[in-house]
Amino acid sequence: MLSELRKHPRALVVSLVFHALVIGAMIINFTFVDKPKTMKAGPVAKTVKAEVVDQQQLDAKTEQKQFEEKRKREALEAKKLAEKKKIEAEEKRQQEAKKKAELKRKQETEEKRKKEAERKVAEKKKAEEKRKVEEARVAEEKRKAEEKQKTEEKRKAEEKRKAEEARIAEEKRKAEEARIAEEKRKAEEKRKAEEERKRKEAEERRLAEEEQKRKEAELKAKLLAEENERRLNSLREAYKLAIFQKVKRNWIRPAGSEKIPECWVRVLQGPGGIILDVTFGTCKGSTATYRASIENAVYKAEPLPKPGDPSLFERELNFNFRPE
Amino acid sequence: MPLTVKAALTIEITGGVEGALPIAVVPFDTSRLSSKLPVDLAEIVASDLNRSGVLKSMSRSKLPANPHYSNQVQYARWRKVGQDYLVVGRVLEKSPGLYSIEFQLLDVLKQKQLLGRSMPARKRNLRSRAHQISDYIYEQITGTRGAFNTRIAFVRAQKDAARKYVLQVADTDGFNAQNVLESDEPIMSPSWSPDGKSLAYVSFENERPEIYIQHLATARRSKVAGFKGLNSAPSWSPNGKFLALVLSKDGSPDIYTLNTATKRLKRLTTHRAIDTEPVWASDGKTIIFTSDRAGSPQLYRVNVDGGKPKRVTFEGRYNTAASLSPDGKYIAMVHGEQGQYKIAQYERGTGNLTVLTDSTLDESPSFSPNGKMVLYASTRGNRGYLYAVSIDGRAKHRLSDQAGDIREPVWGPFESK
Repeated sequence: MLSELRKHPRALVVSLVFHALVIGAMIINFTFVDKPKTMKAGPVAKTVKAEVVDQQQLDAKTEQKQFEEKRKREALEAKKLAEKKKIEAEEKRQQEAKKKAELKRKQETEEKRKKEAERKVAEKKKAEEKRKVEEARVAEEKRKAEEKQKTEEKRKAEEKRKAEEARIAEEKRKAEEARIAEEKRKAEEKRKAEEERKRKEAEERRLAEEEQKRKEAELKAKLLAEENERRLNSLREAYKLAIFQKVKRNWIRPAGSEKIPECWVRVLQGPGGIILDVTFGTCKGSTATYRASIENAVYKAEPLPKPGDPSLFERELNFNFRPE
Repeated sequence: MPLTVKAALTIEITGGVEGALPIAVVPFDTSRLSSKLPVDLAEIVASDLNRSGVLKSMSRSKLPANPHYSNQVQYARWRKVGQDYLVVGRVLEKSPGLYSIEFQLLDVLKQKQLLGRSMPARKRNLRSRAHQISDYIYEQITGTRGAFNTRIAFVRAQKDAARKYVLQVADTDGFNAQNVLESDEPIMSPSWSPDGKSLAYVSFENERPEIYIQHLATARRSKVAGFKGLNSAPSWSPNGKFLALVLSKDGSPDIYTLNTATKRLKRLTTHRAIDTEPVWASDGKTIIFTSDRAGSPQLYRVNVDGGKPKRVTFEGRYNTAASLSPDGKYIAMVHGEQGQYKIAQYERGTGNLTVLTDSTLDESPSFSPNGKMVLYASTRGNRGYLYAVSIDGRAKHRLSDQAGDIREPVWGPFESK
């Protein structure tokens, strides 16, 4: 519909104007509804007026003309008579039709008036209703505003009361708090005093314990040192045994050497038990072969066993080789 | 007594296994020679060292590698197969027939060379050079002069040969035997002159025992004792001027000395029992001999200047055929017990007697000039074989197989060069 209107703006304008006129007419009508105009009924007589002819011009022709005119007028009169009769018939018929139309129009007007009256009544009713609604609305608004105001006042009063109450409560609370804080402070002081006492006691106890512990630790350290010493001694023995076994296992000594009493050999070993040097000390009654067998035994035992504890490693080892 | 007091750890090593030091002798490289060598040098060296009892050479089939130069040696491999020493070598040909033998003795454990030598050689003395190498190695390791490159003399009896008896001289491994004297009659008791150039021996070529001296190089010989009766058991004095011998011209066999230059005889024993097998002490002042004057044969000692012989051996009922060690401390002898005759070693200082062999019929022990081995003959079945035993009795080896019945071997002296 809207698009339709857009397509025909002129139609819209015409329509709008027409509507405006109609509404305007209605309003005007409505305005004068109380003084209705009575329309005059009856046929309207048509009056024919004779022309005024210039006398000078009619001089020459007047006679003839008058004649002709007379004849024509007679003819015309005749015609006119006929037409008059016709018109009269017509007029009668028209009168008839007019009467009919008038009747119809009257009926229609009556109808229209009736409708108009009805519409007016309706409108009046509607307006009345509207007014009533409006009044009700206004009254309601007023009531609401009043209510609101009342509520507001009530709220404010309430707030005020509450604020007062809160203030009092706050004061009360503060006082309570202060009291509690005081109590607390006192309790704290008491607690601190107690704690201090306890701390002192504990400190004394701790010192005593520490002393005890120190004594125990000293004892333990002593025992541990002894234990470690024992452990090292045992590891040293194991180390010596391991070296002994490995060298002995590799010692192939020449026959007849069992009589050689003893042979001291100093062995220098490097990290990892690598043989760095073998030096013979006292080796009475030995032969070169015997000494070679000892040297070979040491070298064959390379790498010499590692000690169970690195601190036991000795760079310099003294061997005493004895066949028996 | 420790040599240092600083060392914290003193470890007593007692026990150990008695045994020989392991050595591997790798075949020498001969690939660059125009012709193959007639001898296997490494084989000779290996078996020499093996016989010593001090060293034990590795079986050739077990050698893990075949290096010829020390820089080709991967020591770890040799150590892994338990070798203490390694010998590598090669033979180069300087000109046709003139060789140069090079060898190195390596210490597997210390991974270093102990000895390196180069020596010229010809085909005829290749064996001698091999024995010389053995001597070098032996001396390097044991500190004792090797006696491999010396010679031995013995008598070979061959029933079916043209000459039934042959006096031979050979290398110490029994190879390279050369005839000194061939005879249809028995030959006995060869004795080396101290310079190793001559042999004294007993020959029955005149159907009775007579003593001859023969120069080996020239084969010139002379009869030094042809007295009536027994002329036997010659023994050269250490200075080479005298022979001790046994003569029975004055009755029972007695010990005499003969000045080989003046032919002057001196009687040392006069006992009516049999006195025989005299040997000189290395100081030339005393003579050890066998006598049954106490009933059973025992060893006695007599001063070359005269005097009463003193009994040396008491253990057992049969101790004969003495051979004195060069240092005079030991006497090797035939020790008989319960019908079995074995080689024993008698220690003069302690009187300890050690039986070295376990066979049943051994004879003629003879010390090697370095005193480390004893050569002897051992009868097995109807034949005598050459044997060598280390003085500890540990290593006993039969020398190269020869035909015939081998008797009375005697080890020659070091030869001065």
